[in-house]
Amino acid sequence: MTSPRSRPTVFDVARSAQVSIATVSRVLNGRAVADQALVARVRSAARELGYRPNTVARDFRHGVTRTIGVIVPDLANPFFPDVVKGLADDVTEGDHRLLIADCGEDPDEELRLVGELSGRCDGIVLCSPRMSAENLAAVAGWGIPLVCTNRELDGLPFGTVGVDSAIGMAQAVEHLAALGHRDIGYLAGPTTSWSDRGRRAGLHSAAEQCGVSVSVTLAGSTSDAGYQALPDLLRRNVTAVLAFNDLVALGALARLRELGLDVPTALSVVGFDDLPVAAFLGPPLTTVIVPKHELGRRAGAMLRQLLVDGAIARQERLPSSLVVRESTGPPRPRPAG
Amino acid sequence: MTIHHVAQRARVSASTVSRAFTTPEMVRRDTRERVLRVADEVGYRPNRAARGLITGKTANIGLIVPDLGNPLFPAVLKGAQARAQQADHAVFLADTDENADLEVNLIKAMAKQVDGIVLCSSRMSDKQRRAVESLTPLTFVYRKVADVPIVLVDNADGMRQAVEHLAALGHRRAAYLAGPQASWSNRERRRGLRSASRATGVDVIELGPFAPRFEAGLQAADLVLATDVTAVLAYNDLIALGVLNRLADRGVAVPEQMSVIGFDGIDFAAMCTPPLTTVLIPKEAAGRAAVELLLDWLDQKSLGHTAGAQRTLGTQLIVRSSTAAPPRVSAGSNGRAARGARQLKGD
Repeated sequence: MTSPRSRPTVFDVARSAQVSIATVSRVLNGRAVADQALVARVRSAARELGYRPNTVARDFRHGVTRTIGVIVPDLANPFFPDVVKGLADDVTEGDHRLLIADCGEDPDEELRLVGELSGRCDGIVLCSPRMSAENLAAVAGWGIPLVCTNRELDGLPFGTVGVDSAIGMAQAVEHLAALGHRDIGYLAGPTTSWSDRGRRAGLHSAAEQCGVSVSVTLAGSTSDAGYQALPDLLRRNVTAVLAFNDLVALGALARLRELGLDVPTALSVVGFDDLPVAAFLGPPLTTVIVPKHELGRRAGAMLRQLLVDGAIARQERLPSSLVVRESTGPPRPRPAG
Repeated sequence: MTIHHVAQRARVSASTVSRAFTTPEMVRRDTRERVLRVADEVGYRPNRAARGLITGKTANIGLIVPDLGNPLFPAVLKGAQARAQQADHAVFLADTDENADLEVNLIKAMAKQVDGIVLCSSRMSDKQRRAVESLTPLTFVYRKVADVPIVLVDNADGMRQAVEHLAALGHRRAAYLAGPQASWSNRERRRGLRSASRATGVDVIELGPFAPRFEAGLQAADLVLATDVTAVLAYNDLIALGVLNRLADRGVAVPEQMSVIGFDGIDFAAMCTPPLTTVLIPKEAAGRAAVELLLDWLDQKSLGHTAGAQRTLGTQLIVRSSTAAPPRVSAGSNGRAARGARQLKGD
């Protein structure tokens, strides 16, 4: 994987001038910075390092295209269409149009798409961006109005709207513990996913509090990932499985059906995201409600505000909450002896 | 000489070759120099990429769909993207939310941003279509239009397979849950139903039209139970899934008391309870073919050719567990037709 090391990045300038990346971005984009000494330091560092902004990506025009761009990792996961629809509702209210791109879980493609979209849009929403912190910093240096959903990074001049997964995850663990489960498993999501990190954090912290032990197996974000990863968890003698998302849970359910294991009698299963379809497939899935539509809406509103008054980036958090359906129950009785 | 020849010789990926031309600062200097040297050696000329160096943009393709929430369309996108990527294009999407007026506006806006647009399941009227057809090259998936490249699937034949399946099981009366009136696929499925109904002697009554979503299936199930049919053919899998859900709520056993068939063959159809009998239509293949036809057309356009290429892909009934022999007594009210139900007759 090639990294943009032959040219200095915003990171390098920030480090050299000992300021935040947000400050570097503001100075180099000619936005107001009160401290003139700071401005001088940043400009001098940029000059010394030979930093030049990406001229291709800087070909955007403020408020001329009336288009907002949005990049998602995978439209085949119904989670993202729901977020996009929420964003579309807000964008339409602002009399803009939405241009959507799917990077196929590829961080390099995601970066390239930002470049492609920036010449065609007034601003961009990155949904659950997979690219490295380094590349996000480089993108910050391009000066395009940008909002991220479900990815938070300190020091970067982006607005972010994120779902607090830890709350819902904790409720799920407490629910399982209350049913009597003591050994639970987690089918983990992509390692590039900020949401997965939040879910794991909530999971481990709640498990410790409830006296429940956790086994983790890497799965992914698709139903196929759940289908493939489930047997590994079964080998670790868990009585309940929490999945990174509903698709992974559905894949696990399919595998369990094939193995002749009934849910919830033989094993309890919990999903995440509350995809509408999850309530329709058997058995109705216990899951964590994530306000997907609202996530999109809030991102749109934040970006619009950014376009209007160049507001300083802030972080918004939306809550998640457990909904109990029919895929969870008491653990199967342990064999005697 | 293609980008892949250069990639292979320079021992990098195709996308790295592309970046070496369009966003050189994203590529390591030694890699970039090697790529440019190899390209020069083999005589590779990246026309679209060269344009990108001048204008800051590379050529891309638009894809407009009625509803990203229907897994059918992300699947078409996957194929479209795979083929577009081979030509080093990105695909930009827009969602019309089943609204033909919005579709027109999106085409007008997108026409300035892309080199051509693939319209999937277009809902525009012919009049609206004619108003935008000269703005940018348009190709259609799942809709028959003259004089432009189109990719179709054999809906009528798929319906024939479905009806013959029901007839073989012993069904004599079935309901068709119709989709949007502006949908070509709906017209074709009805056409297939009419002719299969005549051929097999299975009476089909039509209910609807319904929006092509889960929620509509919930509503449709109640209407079905107010008739005396023993089987349901839904416009698509989403409606069928809604029907399954509502029938379960109402204590009607599928397939013992009612058979249900969907259409499209989305992944979720295999995961529901019971797994849904449906008609599989090509999705990724359709997206791939559409982009290929569009790219061919774009290449020819500069030579003054017009294109009217048409590809029709086959459909296949997938029998799962939602269909079985009819019960001796129908689950719904005997003899009473639902309000709004009508016999599916020939036009």
